[in-house]
Amino acid sequence: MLEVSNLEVKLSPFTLRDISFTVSEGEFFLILGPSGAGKTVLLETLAGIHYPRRGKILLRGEDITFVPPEKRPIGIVYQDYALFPHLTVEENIRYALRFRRREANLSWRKLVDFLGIGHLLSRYPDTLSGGEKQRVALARALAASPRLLLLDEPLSALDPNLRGEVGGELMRLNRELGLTVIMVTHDFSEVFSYGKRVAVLFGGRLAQVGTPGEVFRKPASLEVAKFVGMENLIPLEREGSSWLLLGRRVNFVQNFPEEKFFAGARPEDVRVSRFPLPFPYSWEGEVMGMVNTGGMFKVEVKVGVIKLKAYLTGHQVVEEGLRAGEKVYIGFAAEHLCLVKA
Amino acid sequence: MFFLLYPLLHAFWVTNPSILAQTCRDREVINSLLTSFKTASAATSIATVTGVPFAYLLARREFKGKKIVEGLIDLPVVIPHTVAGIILLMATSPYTWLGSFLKRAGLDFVGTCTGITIAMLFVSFPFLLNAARDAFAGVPVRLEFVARTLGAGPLAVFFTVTLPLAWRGILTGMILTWARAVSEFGAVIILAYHPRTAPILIYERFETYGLAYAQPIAVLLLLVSLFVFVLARLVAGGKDSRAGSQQPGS
Repeated sequence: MLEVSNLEVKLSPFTLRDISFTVSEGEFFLILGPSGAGKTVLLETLAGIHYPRRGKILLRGEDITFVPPEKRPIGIVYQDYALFPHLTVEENIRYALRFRRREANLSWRKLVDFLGIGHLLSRYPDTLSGGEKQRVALARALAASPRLLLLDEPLSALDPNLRGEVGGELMRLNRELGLTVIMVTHDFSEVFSYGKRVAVLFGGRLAQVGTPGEVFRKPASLEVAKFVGMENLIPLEREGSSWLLLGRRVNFVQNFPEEKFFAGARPEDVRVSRFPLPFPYSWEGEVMGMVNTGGMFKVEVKVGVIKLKAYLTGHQVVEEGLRAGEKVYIGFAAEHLCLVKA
Repeated sequence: MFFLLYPLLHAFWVTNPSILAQTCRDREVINSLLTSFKTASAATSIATVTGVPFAYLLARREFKGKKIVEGLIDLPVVIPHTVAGIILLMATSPYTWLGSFLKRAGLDFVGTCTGITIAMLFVSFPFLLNAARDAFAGVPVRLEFVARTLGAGPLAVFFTVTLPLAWRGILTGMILTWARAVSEFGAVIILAYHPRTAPILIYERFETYGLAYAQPIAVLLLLVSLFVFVLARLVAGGKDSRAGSQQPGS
């Protein structure tokens, strides 16, 4: 549906480089990255607001790289909604109909019903709540009948209790209208909830494109690993022809003797027990501390000079009788180990 | 407030109503006021038509030498207005290439309304440019981006989004420009003494007959200017309170 290849965008003082990815028809695609990674610039380039210096954008096989935004069937909803403050909700939603009357395939009234904003039509944007603004901005973008909808951090400005509701609505739009969606987020917890595929953007470059599972369990680089919450990152040591992870032999990196590697394990995959663990990667250590993170306990265990982190339920903490200063075993199964290039 | 209001109120207080009424019937006074308002309106119109697109360019585009251009815009505000008059006179004198060209084109500056308008335009242009540029800069650029993605071309975006949100600031700039033009004395007296504008007539009566004869015209000019000023402010402040007062990104 959308094919982006070797895109380079220079927007002082910022550059996007080597951006290549594809999005299929009807997909809910995510772009994940920290603030300042260039996510919004990327969306704006797809929308035609900035033109790239290099590279191509194909939409359904048609080259739209230098097509102006008003001629592209692509809608955008910004994080701050960017509603026209001098127009009522109805005028905002019908704005596109002044220019694209013939193209509308879903009447604006149906959209209003679909999003449940019929009671807001005569109001001005500055009198709306965050969730209402969000729906109006969505309706306005959809009234132009886009083939592709770009969402720039649509949930981050909402109250936490509204996020789930609005997120569900976005999924419904994607599912029921068959709309292709690209959503930008800096919150990696949103990735599992919404997207089937995710692109990770760092410093203007695509660091990885894959399923949420791949990005979370097999991050392509150290910075991606840190960003997606892989909190246990331990440098591997070389011993002869093999590699050691805190003294335990790791066999499957022998083919890459010249590279420097880190071993990574997600804290939710790490187990802590007062008894020896049946894992190839397990060590004896000392509990340094426990923090209640709301539902889960983050337990820190010192092994030699390295601190390993594990997430345990309150029930597990009580069952194991874990206390600071206590000697425990900590480890994880072989399938939970990932190797990250430094 | 006392410093601002006392001289104004005092001027009204000491003016004899019968002399004021007599002044209102004085043909010369009426003509000078009409000349002032006519030329100030012409200067404001020229400033608006040429200045608004330029202000938009300054608010939205980056280009080499932009800082210098912005500095130059404010120059007429900081140079003494007699100096402005002198340099305009020098530049438009029939002995210069520009002056002779303009004279051949039928534009004579010395002693004409055109000259007055040019002098007024020179000193008051910065007010319009600065106000319009600030008004455009206050319109979040994202609103324009979104409008483009909704099918509006650049011109349609300007007339349906940018201008409706910036018009209040532009109108304020027009009022300031007009007020500055009406009050201009230094540049006008050097470039075009005739036909007399109100400030020049006031000066002439003061010089020839003294304070008592200058005062009623001054008060009359004050009254008419205040009326226009308040009226324009009411127009700018009324109607749709949303336009031009939005928060960036709202």
